[in-house]
Amino acid sequence: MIKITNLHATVNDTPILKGLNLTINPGEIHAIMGPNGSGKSTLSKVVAGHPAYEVTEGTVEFQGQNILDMEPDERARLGMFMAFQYPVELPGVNNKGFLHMAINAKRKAQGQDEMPMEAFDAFLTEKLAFVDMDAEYMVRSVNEGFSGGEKKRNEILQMAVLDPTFAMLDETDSGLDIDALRIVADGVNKIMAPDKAMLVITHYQRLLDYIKPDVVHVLADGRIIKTGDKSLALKLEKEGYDWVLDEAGITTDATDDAKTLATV
Amino acid sequence: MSPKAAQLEKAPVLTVLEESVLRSKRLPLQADAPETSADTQAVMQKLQATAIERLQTIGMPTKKQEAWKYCPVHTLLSQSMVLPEKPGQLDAALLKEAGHLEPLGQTRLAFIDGYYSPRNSALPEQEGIIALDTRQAYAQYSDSLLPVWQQQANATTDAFHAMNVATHTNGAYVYVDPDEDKSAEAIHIACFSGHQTEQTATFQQHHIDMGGRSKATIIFQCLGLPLDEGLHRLMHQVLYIDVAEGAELDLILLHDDAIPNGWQMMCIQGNVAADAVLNLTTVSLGLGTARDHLRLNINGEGGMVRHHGLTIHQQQGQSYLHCQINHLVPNSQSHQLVKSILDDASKNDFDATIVVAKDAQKTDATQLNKNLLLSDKARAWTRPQLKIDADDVKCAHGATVGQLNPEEMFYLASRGMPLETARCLLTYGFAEDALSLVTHARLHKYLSTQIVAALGQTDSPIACAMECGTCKAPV
Ligand SMILES: Nc1ncnc2c1ncn2[C@@H]1O[C@H](COP(=O)(O)OP(=O)(O)OP(=O)(O)O)[C@@H](O)[C@H]1O
Ligand SMILES: [Mg+2]
Repeated sequence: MIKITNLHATVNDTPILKGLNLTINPGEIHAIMGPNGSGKSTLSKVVAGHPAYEVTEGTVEFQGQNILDMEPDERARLGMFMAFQYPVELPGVNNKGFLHMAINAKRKAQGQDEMPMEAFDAFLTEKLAFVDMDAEYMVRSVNEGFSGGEKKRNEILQMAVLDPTFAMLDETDSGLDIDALRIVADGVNKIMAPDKAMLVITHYQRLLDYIKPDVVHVLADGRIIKTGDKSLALKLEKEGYDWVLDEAGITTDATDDAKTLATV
Repeated sequence: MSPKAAQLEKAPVLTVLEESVLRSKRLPLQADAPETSADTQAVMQKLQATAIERLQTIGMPTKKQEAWKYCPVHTLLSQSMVLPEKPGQLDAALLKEAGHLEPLGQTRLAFIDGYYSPRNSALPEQEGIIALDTRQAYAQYSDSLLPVWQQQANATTDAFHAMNVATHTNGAYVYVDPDEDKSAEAIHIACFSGHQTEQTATFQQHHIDMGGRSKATIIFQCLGLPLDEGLHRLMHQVLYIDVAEGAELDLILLHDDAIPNGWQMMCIQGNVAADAVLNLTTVSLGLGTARDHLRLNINGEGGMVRHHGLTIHQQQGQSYLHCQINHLVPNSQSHQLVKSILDDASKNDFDATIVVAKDAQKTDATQLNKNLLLSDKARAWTRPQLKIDADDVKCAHGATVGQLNPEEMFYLASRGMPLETARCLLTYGFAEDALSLVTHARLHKYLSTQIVAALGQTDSPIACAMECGTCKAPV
């Protein structure tokens, strides 16, 4: 489904991704964990095509097609989706109108008829139920004045509406209360299918109790430094990142400090 | 000094425009009513003489004047123009296609080149409203019209305004009886340009008089249609508004000119009495030059003015707002929000002052100007000003000039929206709250449609999605 090979990317000439490899097959859910600032959001934005990031080396293939030369909107219309760690507020852009336009942009690209408003209303009602979201949010501007958790829920609603083949969820669990976490995870599981794939970025293994990953990766210093199954997440939760970083020969000031503290 | 030199010095130097306009000596209201009584003729002659005298005292504007600083008015002043002899042909098909012929209200007063157009008007019998063209209104209510014109002729400080009083043709007269709530059905005033083969200047006077505690919704369209290439055209309106105690007026003004040499000027004089509300929305679109000169006085305690403005221009389109809101009594409010969206080499000038008189304690005033530049060549000047002579007031003002936010653009792109759509959606979003004073659903839809078209998005499903968005239809 997605094949990332030796990906290097910079932002403002600072290298962030430094030779990242990742392959996700249809039907798989992969989780990525890793310290703050290690490049997890960068990875998802580079794959989604954010213009601020420059790919200096490597390839990204989606369903066998090199996507690095494509504009972000083309990638989205191919069936890729990213749920933002920090969803953007769009003042004055009505949520429902926005979703209607988004789905029609996709349908148009796929040679389907645009969905008329009446049909969309019914469709949206169903998707709202999916993420247990009140229709009241639809008459508001996109994310404007939404609480942190509401924004995340709105991301999943957008995913449900657009029904992507490959979705990246960047810390969608952060900021969600316990009930919301379950609802969002249920939503994700319902969208998941054998011909689809997902990349879930998280700091907490709790999410992985709900969304069962097939593979867990550790991203540090711009690379995947360890790959395992769900037990890896449990171990990280218990023991932190020091041991994986050590294994990979990565030292950071923070870990040095931690070590010093431990020996005192 | 030789007598000849003295004479030269005394003779006012007329600009080409003044010369050509005043040459006709046509009296106010004469164009639409050739057989005027001798009495009226005498009155109009006197009015015209006063206005011309005033015009010569003021002199035509120059760029040295603060109020005209950025406005290329000299290009207009060097044009020779005539007062149209008769209304030109109205290109109804074009207007219809552009969505301007939607029935926006039951009561309609339409004018073509300053001439009343009964064919395009509708004046159903209605309790509580008087709606007439000013020529008819003058025959019946000269007592309420003439003093206003005389006052303007004596006191205006704007040369175009003086020229207007001296030569105006016909216009709209609306009076709402006290205690009548007529806000559900909009009153529609439309000023069109017809097809002319010469350069024309049209001057019109309009009156809106709101009786105590009355309510009304009025939309005023000023639409300049295409002309042969290169021709200049001036459409000048004076709008006199009186909002009596406790009354509420929602007024929407739309400028849209299809030609780069089309000038639309409007002088608005408003008086807002105690506990009265004026909700004014001004929208300026198109390829020409629009200049609004607003002078709004709050004369009674509890009076309030809300002004929202929105400018959307491409190519060489330009808008100039020269505005003064005067708080003359304690406990009044004014809130102003003016936005512009400027593409290509278009321009916007916001030059607005809130004046708080010495006695106007507890004034609550806000003033905000926001400009979105979509091209490197677009220009926005912003001059928000406060002149405060009272000490216990709440006044805030601000201005921003910016571009589209790349993070917002990426967010939309990541949802599959093509660049152009994303751009349009965000600019629409930027514009959206400028329409928040328009609570009348039909008018809101009409304006949204015009704005979507002005943003270059006529692709119907997209436009529809945006409009559905704006109409805030619940799921
Ligand atoms: N636009 C930018 N300009 C400069 N530095 C940037 C920019 N974007 C990201 N970075 C840097 O790149 C590094 C990786 O950031 P990224 O957001 O990918 O981390 P992350 O793994 O998602 O962290 P977190 O767990 O905190 O979300 C950080 O050091 C960050 O400061
Ligand atoms: Mg991150």
